Amino acid sequence: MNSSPLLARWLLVLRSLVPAATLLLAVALAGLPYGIPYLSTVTPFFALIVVYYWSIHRPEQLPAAAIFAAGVLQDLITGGPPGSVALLLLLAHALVVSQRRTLLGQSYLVEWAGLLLVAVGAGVVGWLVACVYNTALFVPWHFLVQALLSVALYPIATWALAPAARAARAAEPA
Amino acid sequence: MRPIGGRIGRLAIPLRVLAQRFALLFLVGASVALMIAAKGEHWAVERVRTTVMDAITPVLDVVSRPAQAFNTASEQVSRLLYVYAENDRLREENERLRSWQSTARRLEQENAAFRALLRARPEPGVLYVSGRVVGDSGGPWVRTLALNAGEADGVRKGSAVVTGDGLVGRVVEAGDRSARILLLTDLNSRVPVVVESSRYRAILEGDNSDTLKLSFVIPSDDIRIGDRIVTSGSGGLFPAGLPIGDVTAIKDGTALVTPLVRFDRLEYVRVLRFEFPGMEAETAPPARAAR
Repeated sequence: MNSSPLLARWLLVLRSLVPAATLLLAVALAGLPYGIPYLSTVTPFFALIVVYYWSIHRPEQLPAAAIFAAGVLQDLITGGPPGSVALLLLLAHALVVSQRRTLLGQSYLVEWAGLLLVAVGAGVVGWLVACVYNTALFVPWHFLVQALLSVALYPIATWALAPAARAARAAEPA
Repeated sequence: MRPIGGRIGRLAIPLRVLAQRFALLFLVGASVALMIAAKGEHWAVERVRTTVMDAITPVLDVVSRPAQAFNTASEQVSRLLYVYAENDRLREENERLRSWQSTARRLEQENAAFRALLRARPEPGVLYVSGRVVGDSGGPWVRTLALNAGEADGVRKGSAVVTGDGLVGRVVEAGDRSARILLLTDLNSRVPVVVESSRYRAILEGDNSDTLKLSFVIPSDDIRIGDRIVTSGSGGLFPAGLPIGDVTAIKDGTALVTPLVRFDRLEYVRVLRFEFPGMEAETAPPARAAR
């Protein structure tokens, strides 16, 4: 049968797109109105969680260009300055990829603690950039609470992303 | 002798790493460049923004419905829990409002009589366009909302956005079928206001926190806690008299205003199509949901 290798190839292509698709979903989640009091300013940085996860587990399947595009898309959806989320995501990605060997063989707790450092770092950098960009003093707590909420969500995110990681692994060349 | 392919392969890996690093550096630079371009309010950035929002709003419209259905359900449950207390409060309020209603009717007639005597020009008409909130600011950078109504529905850049409680903000970007609202609490929000009782004029500023700051008010001693702040109508962007909030604190001579609108519970808002006297009427299509 000729169609099955073609189908398998398409399936492989689709599976290789899984990390980017989860990032796109995270971007969409950030822009939704949840109606929960005080949440809109401290909405978890869903995209950062996803970028952190893939940068450790499958960095080659989430290229920097996809991260950049997703970041810009989030800015366009949420009304923030275009480039700001992309900048934070790319810096986080670069940091995690450079420390990947240290993080990869470690326990889940170490991986989680790594996100704490990355999210707080992104919060501090985000706050500094926001202050400089707007030449105004932003409320630092919003950035810190956002970082901590993102860290708190990591177990749920890893649980949700595990099947996606299995699908993405299947797309890797043997 | 080793095959040539193996040597090329070995050479290709560091080259690939180098290319990846260069791409990353380039994209970081591109992010910063984009931010700078957006700061200059370049028309292309706004164009891209409205085009993307127009494309994505129908998706957000559908995806946001389950979240809002959940909110509505939870609100209904909490209403059910407090139904007796709420009923008592409403009875009391109803009685108070009845007396205000009779006062308002009397004043309305009196006003009409005086206007007729003075041959005063009638106030400009205000039309509403209703829209559903489909997007949020999703972080600490800005305080904005996305709306599922745009220029095709009669929404215009600069228009005031209100609910039954008061002013929400203004339209900063209007696409064909979507619009972006800058909330009063955003750092870049400035609204000319007046203190309702004393008629002092001031500018109401947002700072991304939940309260607003009253600035450029000269006799700050005359502003008291509990004073109602309304739009002044200066500049012609907003109609005069739209309620905004109450002064709830005075810190270091600055009056802090708590908005009447609860921004986190907004589901439907109304965009005003206000035509200031003397301004040329825009050739806008008729409002979709004018009330």
